[in-house]
This record gives sequence, structure tokens and C-alpha cells, in this order.
Amino acid sequence: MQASMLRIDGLTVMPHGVKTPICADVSFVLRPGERVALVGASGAGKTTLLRAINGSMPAHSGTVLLNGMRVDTSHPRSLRRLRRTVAMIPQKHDLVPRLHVYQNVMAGALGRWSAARALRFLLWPLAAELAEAQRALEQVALGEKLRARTATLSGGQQQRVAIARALVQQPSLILADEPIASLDPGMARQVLDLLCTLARDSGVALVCTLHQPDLAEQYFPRILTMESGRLTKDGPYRLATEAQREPGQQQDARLPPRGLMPDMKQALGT
Amino acid sequence: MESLARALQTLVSFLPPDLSAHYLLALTGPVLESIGMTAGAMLIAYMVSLPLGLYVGLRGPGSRFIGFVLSGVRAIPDLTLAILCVIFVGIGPAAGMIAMAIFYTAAVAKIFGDLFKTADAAPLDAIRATGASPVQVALFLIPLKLNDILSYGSYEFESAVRASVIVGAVGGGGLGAELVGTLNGFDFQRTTTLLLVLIGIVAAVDALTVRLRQRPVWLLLLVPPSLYALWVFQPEQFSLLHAVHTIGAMFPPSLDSDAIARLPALIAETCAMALFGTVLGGIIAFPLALMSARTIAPPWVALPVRRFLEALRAVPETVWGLVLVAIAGIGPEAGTIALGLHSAGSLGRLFAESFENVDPAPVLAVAATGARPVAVVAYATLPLASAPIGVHTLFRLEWNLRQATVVGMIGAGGIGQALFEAQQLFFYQAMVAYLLITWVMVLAVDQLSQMTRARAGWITLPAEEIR
Repeated sequence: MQASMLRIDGLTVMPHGVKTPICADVSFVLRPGERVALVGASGAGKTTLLRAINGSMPAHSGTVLLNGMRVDTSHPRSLRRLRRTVAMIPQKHDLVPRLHVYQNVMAGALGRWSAARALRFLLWPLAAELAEAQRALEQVALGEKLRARTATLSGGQQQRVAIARALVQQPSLILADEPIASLDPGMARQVLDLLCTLARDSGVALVCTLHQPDLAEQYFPRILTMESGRLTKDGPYRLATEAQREPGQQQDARLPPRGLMPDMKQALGT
Repeated sequence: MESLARALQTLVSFLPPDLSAHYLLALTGPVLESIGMTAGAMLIAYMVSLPLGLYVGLRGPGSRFIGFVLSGVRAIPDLTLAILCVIFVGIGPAAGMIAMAIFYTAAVAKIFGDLFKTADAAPLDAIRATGASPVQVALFLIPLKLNDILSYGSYEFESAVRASVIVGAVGGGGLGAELVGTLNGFDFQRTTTLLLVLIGIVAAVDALTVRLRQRPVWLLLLVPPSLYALWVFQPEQFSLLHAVHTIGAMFPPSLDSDAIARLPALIAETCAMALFGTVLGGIIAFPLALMSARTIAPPWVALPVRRFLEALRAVPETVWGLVLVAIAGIGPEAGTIALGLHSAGSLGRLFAESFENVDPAPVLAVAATGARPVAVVAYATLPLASAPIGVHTLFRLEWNLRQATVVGMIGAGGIGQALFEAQQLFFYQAMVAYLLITWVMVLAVDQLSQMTRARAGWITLPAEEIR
């Protein structure tokens, strides 16, 4: 494995017609399997930074290197190939409500499927493909919802379907944009538990934007803080009372035991 | 097989269009006549329907009854009105203009009434509280709804331009009369020219109304030429005696027992024409809509396809019907294809808008997985747009149920064709009987349409689906 899976150098994002940059001179390095929280007030540029990482927001200056390849200057075709390795879990889960759950989940596989296979799966899914969707759903504890209409699921369930879609994508990096913004506190902890466990157990790197610094402290060993487009803090984040404790320990104690996710490695192909 | 070969042969004889300077110059007369008829009729329609709409909108005494009458008049197809006006005032643009003035006064007044009814109550109450008279309240309503008035008003104008060709075809003058002339004279290359001219005029009117909506004051410039058109096209001869005599021959409406026995089959044929026409239109529209959606196709594909859809839509069902009757002969096939061609244009545009208006977030989410563009459309855009597409198709089916009776009146099948044949043979009592039956059918469909609209209230409807 390489020492850095994501390297960002002096990234500035400034769309046309905007006077001040949304992201200004952002630099950081992410190692494979590293879990990072990106905290900051709304409007600090967190979402924009995530979108620049997966290439859906063009960079004004600076470079984004993903697995050794430039994202910011990629042509559409090679960008599409790069995007297969990066799963984005959007803020409002952004599923297609009229599709069945398994169709939304397997949308994660579209990057590696041919166009013909993608169209065939919509009308006529094979047993093996459904089994893959089933495995991903079981990891997010939604195994019984395989054939449900997505619109009939609750907000928390839809958020977990979006996570299952990200798992099917077999990424090396997951970008989660405020994954708990629309959830109640109990559900928020469940979803964070799930994301962190899945990332830790499979060695997938995770960048997760969060509003709440306290949750970030509990779940993430490294925290990046953004203020009006700039990265102002980077590093292990400790409260004074917990200074002695290793930040990873406290949160790992809260997570379910590793044995609960037996299919993880298989589903992610690692 | 043989008839298909003959139809193809006829089709080829429509090409190439006659674009000689001589013929194009000769067309200025009919073009000006059609535009003049439209302008004159619409001037009357707007002048009458604005106060009428305000009155209905403010729910003055008897406004329910007025609304009922407006719905009834609007359910008389423009083609029927034109036939009646030709009988009363003789062949010529005056008949066409009167028919359009009646039809569009009812149509525009109904729409304006509905618009004013939905005006925000709070500012109106505030005005009333200052002790304003009803007239002052009414004048206050106009600026409140100005944008809607302009957009629906201009849509109706565009629709009237197309209708001027329909009413012209049955003796109302202008381009329609010229079109029928070329078809009867087997002068098909010139028919193509006329269709192209119509498409061009509709496109020009469309572009003009978009500009005018931004600067409504310029509309006043259109009033003097419209008044002039009214003056030029006023009916020259209106013989009361002749009219009374003709009406007398029409009453009482009656059908012989044979005709009554054929009625159910004719109505079924009309419904089948509407159904198959809608399906045909949908099948043509779907791929073209995908190709013309700006969010899906590159502009160099989207723009020409969009123009093609607009061209299909610029030619009304009845005009396609006239052409197709010449190609495929009298019968329901011509009517079905005619409905299909116009529907393809309308549905194509509406489908494309449905694709463009989907929630972009799920589309971006699927694209972010590295999916191919085809897969993004199949997994996000299509399922997201399926609900509005279904509603648009349902509306088109209802509209086609109405139009299937009308398109038959030029010989293209169904109950309209029975009316057409009765008229051709001067069986006026039977003709009026068929007129009444089609009127009731259209009225029933209009009611059905209002119920569908109430159910589908969550979708913002474009002007062409507000009826």
C-alpha cells in the first residue's frame, strides 16, 4: 500500500462569479484506512471540499491526488474510473424513491458494470446479484428490506441504504457528508457506529463531515477543522479530561465487537 | 400491401417543397389573412374575457352560471364553430374570425376566471378594508396576476395561430383555405411549403411572445393592426333570412335507426383512435425527449431535436389529418396517425421538461459512483421523472379523446367522420344530431380532465394543459 491514498496540496475552489473562495489553500494527506472527521460551522466549505475530492467540483488551483492520480485535471472518462474507488454518502442520502431498495443498493456497482448489464439488472436481476445486495444490506442491519420500495423506508433506514450502496461500490475511500444531519440523536450514534466499524474492519479510509465537535471527538482519531474555507486545525483532538486516554480507545469501546460483521471482508473484496 | 405502396408513393410526391419565389410571394396574402384573422379574433377575446374573468374571479352574482356557459361554449370544437359560421356568413375570413373570437373568448375567460379565483386573499381584503369599490378591487387584481395573464394569454394566442389554419380549412379563408386547395389539386409539394410556413409562423409567434412577456407595454402596439384586421374582415353579407332558413333545415336534429345502431361502434372507434394516437405519440416522443433534454444530451443534439418536436407540435391534429387523409385515404388510420404526430411534439417537449426538472441530488449521487451516463439516466433520471411523465400522458389521452372527435370531421374516422359525411351530403338534421353528440362527449371529457387535474395538483402544469 502507498503511504498516502489522498494528497491535497494548496486546493482552492472558487466557482465562476464568486468573489471569495469556498475552499482556500487546503492541504492535507490521508493514509489508507485512516478515519478523519471534518468539522466546522455550516458554510465553512466542508461539502465543497468533499465534492472537490471526488471531482464533482472543479478546482481553481492546487492539486488533488487520489491513489497517485490527479482528480482535478482528469478527463471525464478517467474521472469516472477514479470515482469508482470513492464512495460518496450524501447529506440527504439522495436515493431514488421509486426504485426498490436492491436497485438503489446495486447502483453502487454501476461503475464496474457494463451499460447492458446495468439495464438488464433493472428489469431482471440475477440471484447472485441479489445476494450481493442482501449481504450489503445485512451489514447495515436492513436485510429484510431487500425488495421494499425505497420511498416506504424511514429517514434512518434510507441513510443506511445509502451506506449499503457505498459498500457495494468496494471503495478505498468513503466520503460521508453530514451523514447524521437529518437523524435523531439515537439514530445518529447508530449510523456513526456503523460507518466507523465498517471502515475500521475493512481498512477503508473515511472522511466524514460533522457539525458536532463532541461526536467527532468520540468517534474519530483525527479531526480536521475548517473555518471559512481554511483548514485551521489538524490532529488528534483531546479534551483536557481525556488527555491521557488514546482517542481511538474510547470510541472503540462504544463500537460493537468485530465479530458482528462477518461478511465485511468478503463484500468489500479485501 | 398495395395500399401501403400507394401511400408511400403519395408521400414521396410531397417532396421537395415548392420554394419558388413566385409561390412564396403569392403566399403573403393568405399568411397576412391568417395572422389578421387571429389578431382580430384575439383582440375581441382578450377585451371581453378580461372583465368577464375578473367578474367570475371575484365571484360576482351569477358567476357560477357564467362559468357553466363558458365551459359549454369552450366544449364546442373550433372546427364545428367554423362550419356553423361559414353557413351563416358565407365562405371567407370573416367566418373564421368570428368562430375563433367565440371559441377563444370562452377559453380565455375561463382561464382568467380560474386565475383570479386563486389570487391571494390577504392583499385583496386589505384593499377592500380601505373602502375600495368592486371595480377598484378588480383593477388591483390585474397587476397581482399579470405574469400568469401574460403567459396563459400568449399561449392561447399561439394556439389561435394554429387554429386559424383549421378554421380556414373549412371555408374560413387564409392559409387553411390555401392548404385545402393544394390538397384537392394534388399540388402536394405546395402543401409541404404551407406546412413549413405554418411551422415558421408558430416559431416566430413563440419567439415574439417570449420577448413581449418581458415588456408587456409593447403589447399596446399590436392593438391598432388588430383593429384594422377587425375592420377589414368584418362580415360583408349576413342574410338573416338565409340564416333562419338554414337553421330551420337543421331542426329538429334526428338520426335514422341505422345511424343510431352504428353509434356505439363509432364512439368506440373514436376512443380507440385517441388511445392508439396517444400510444403512438408517446412512443415517438420518449426517445426524442431523452435526446432533447439539456441535462442529458449535448446541445448540438438537443437543439435540433427540440426544433423537430416544435415542428411536429406546430401543426395541429386537424391539419395533419387533412394531409394524412390525402395520403392514406379517409378512415381512422389517418386520424390516429394525425393524433400521434401532434402528440409526439407536445409530449416530447413535456417529457424533456420532466427529465430536466428532476431532483438533481439523486442523479449526482448515482453519477458519483462512476456510473456510465446511460446507467445514470436509467437508475436516476428515468425513475425520478416517471410520475410527471405518467400524468402528462394521461392528460394527452384526455385531450386526444376530445381531438379524436374533431379530427374525424375532416374525414379521419370515428364519430366525427359520420358528422363529416352528413355535412357533405347536406343531411343537416343528422349533422346537428352528431354535433350535439360530439359536444356532449367533449363536455364529458373536459369534466374528467378537471377531476384528473385536481388529483394531480402536486405537479405544476404548463399552460397547454390548463383547460
